[in-house]
Amino acid sequence: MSSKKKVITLRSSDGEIFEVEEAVALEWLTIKPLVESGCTDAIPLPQVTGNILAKVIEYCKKHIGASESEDRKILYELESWDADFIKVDQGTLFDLIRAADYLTIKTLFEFTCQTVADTIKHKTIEEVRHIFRESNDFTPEEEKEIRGKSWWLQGL
Amino acid sequence: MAKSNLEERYRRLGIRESLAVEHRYPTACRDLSFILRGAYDRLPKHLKSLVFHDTSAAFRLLPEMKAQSAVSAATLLVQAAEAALPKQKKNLAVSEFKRAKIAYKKHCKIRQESSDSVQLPHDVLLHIFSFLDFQSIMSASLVCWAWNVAGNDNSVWQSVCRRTFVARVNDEVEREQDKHHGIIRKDKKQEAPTDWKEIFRRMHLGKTHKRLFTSDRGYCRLCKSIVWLNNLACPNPHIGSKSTSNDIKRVSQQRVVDYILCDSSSDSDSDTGSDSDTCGQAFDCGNDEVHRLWAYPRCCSRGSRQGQYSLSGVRLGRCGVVVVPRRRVFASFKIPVELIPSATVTSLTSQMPPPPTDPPSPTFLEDAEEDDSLFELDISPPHSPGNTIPVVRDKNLEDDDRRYSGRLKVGTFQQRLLPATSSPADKSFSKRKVLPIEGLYRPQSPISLLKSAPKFSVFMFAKSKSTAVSKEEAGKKQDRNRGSTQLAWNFKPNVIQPFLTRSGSLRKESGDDSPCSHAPGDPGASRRFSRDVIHKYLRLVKPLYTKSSKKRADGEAYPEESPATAALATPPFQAGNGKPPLAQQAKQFGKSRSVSTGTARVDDSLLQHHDGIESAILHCKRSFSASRDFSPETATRR
Repeated sequence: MSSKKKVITLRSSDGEIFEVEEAVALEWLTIKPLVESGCTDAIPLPQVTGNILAKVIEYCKKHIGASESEDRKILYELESWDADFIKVDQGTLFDLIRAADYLTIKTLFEFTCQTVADTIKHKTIEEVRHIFRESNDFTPEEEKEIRGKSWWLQGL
Repeated sequence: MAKSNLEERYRRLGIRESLAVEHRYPTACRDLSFILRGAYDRLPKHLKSLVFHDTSAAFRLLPEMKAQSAVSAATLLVQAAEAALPKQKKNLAVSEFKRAKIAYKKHCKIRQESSDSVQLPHDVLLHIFSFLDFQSIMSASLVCWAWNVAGNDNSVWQSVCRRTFVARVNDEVEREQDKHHGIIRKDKKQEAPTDWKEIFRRMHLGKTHKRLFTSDRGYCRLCKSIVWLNNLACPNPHIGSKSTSNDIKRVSQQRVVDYILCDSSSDSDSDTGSDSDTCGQAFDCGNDEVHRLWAYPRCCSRGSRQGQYSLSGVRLGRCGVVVVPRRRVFASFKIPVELIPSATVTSLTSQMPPPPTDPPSPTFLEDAEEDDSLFELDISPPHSPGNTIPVVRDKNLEDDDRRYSGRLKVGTFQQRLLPATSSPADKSFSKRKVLPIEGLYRPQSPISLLKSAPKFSVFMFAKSKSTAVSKEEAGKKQDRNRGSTQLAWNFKPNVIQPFLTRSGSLRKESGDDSPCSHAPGDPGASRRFSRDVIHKYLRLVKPLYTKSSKKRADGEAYPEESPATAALATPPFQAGNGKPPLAQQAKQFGKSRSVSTGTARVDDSLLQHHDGIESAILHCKRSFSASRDFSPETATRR
C-alpha cells in the first residue's frame, strides 16, 4: 500500500478493479464501515457496473474537498464541471442515481435527483411519459378519477 | 455609469446561461421577450446588441429542448422580436427561429425512435419528487401508477409545503392537530399523522398569483438582484447568513423588466417589509384611477392596503368578514356575500388585528390579505363623479370559479340559494342589453366592464321622476341608518319571504340600491343598504308592487314566465306604449297593475324602476347560482 494515503480497492459487478483513496471511500456510507475496519481486500460492489463506478469515482474525486470551499470561483468551476458531468443519456443517469443510492453518496444522489427533477419540471404529462419512457398504465376511468381529485390544481 | 449599471443588472439576470439549461429555458425566453417588448427601446446600444445576441442564441438552442413549453416560449420570443427589433435584426431573428423550429422537429423524430423503459425505485422517485413544485408533482403523478403512488406520498407533500409556505406551515399543522386532539395536542403530537397534501390544498386555495407562485425567478434581498431560485432559495452563497425564503420574493416577468430599467423599485421592495411574498408593489397608482386598476390590478389593492384601514367599510374575505379600507368595497359575487354593518365589523375586527401589520388569527386571513383573492367591487368615492361606476375586478379569472366552489364548502357563509333561475329570461335579458347592471356585475374582462360603464350611466340618468324617487329613497334610508356610518347590503336571498321567490323581485332590490349608492351628499365612503331596510322601504313606497308580486309568487311556484320578465327588461318607453308586452304584464300583475296603466306617466317611471331593480336582482341571483354551479364536479370536466 502507498505510504501516504491508504487506497481502497473496489470491484464492480463486471469484475473491473478500481482503486480509490480512503478519503473518497469514506464518503460512501455503505462501504464506510468496511473501510474503517481496515479491509484490504477488494470490496465487491455487485450492483454497480464498471463504467458507472468510474463515473461515480470521477465525481467524488472532483467533489471531495471542493464542496466545502468558500471560494466563489472554485464553486463556479465546480458547477460548470457538474453541468458537463451530468450530460449523459438517461440510462446512465438512472444508473448513476441507483449507484449513488446503493453506495449512499449523498452529494451525488442529491445532484442526480435534482437533475431528474429539473427534467420533469415544466413539462406536460405526455412529454414526461415520453422522456422517461413510462407507459400510461391508467385506465381512462382511473385517469379521470385522479384528475377529478386534483381539480384544485388543474389548469394552472 | 448608468450604462454600466444597466448592463451589470442585465448580466446578473443570467439569461444567456440559463438558456442552456433545459428547465430554465422557457422562463429565460419569456424574460427575454418581456425585455424586448418592455425595455428594448430604452436600452443603450451595446445592451441592445447583447439582447439581440441572446435572442438568437435562444433560437439556436431551441432544438436541444425537449418540451413543448420551450417551443411556446420561443414563439413568444419571436413575436416580441418582431414587435421590438429593427427591421434587419428582426429578419435575422425570424429566420433563425424558423431554422430552429425545423431542427427541433427533426430532433423530436429522432428521439421518438429510441425506447427502452427504465424504472426508478420508489424511494428514489420520492426523493426526486421532493425537489419538484406542486404543479410538476401533479402532472408527474398522472404519468403512471408508480409515479402516482410516489406523487401522493405524504413526505413529498410535506417538503413541498415546507418549501412553499415556510412560516405558515407550522401554524397550520398546529391547527390541524388542534382539530384532532383538542387541548391535549402537544403531548400527543406524533400520534396525528398529518395529511400534508390536504394542508397544502387548503393553503393553496388561498393563493391567486399562481404564476408568481410557481415562478422560478425571485428577488433576493441579500444579493439585491433577481436570481434563479433553487428550490425556492437563493442559490448564491451569502456571506454570514444563509438565505431563507424570507429574503426571497418571487417576481413576475414584468418585474424583471422593471428591475433592469430602474433599481429603485427593487429597493423599495425591500423596504416595504415582509407583508407580501409576491411582488408587483412597485407600481404606484392611486385608488382614484379606475383605469389603472386594469393595468396593474395588484398594486392597487396593495395601495389600498397601505392606505388607511379605517373601519368605514366591509370587506369580504374568504373566511367571512374582514376590514375594508375607507373608500373601497371588496365584494365577491361568486361567493355568497353577506355584508354587515360597520358596528359588527368593528366588533369583529377588534378580535383580529388589522391584516397588514399583524398575522391575523384565522390562518387563511393572511393569505387573503396578501393575494386579494377576491373579485373586488370598487365603489369609488362620490366626489369623483366620472368614476362612479362599480367595477367588478377579477384578478384571476381562469380559476377563481373553482377556487370559490372549493371555498363554498369551507366557508362560513350561510348559503341559501334560490332554487332556480329563469334562464330564458336571462337570455333575452342579456341579448337586449337593456340594463347595464348585468354587464357590470359579471366579471368577464376589463374591457367588457369598461365598455359597459356608459350604459350604466344611462340607467342612472333615467327619467327625472324616477331619479327623484330614488333620491327621496336615499334620503329616507339615510335617516334610517344614521346611527351607523356604514350600511350593508345583504346579498343573501331570503327564501322565506315570498317576495323574493320571484327572480324579478331580487332584481328590483339591487336596482334600487344602485342609484342610491351614488346619491350625492354622502361624505366619504360608499354605502350599502341592508335588504331589510329596502324591504321596509318598499313596503312603504310601493305597497302595490309588493302586493302584486306576492300574489304572483303565490300563484306560481317559480318565475319561469319569460314573457313577463322580458317585458320588464324592455326599455320603459316601449313597455309604456301599450304594446303587447305591456298587455301581458298587465294581465300578470293583476288588478293593481292595470290600474296603474291608466296613468301612463307614473307607470313609466314605475316600470323603469322595476326594470332596474329586477335586472339587478336577477343578476345577483344568477351570480349565486353560477357560483353554485361551479362545483368540483364541474371543474373536473376540464
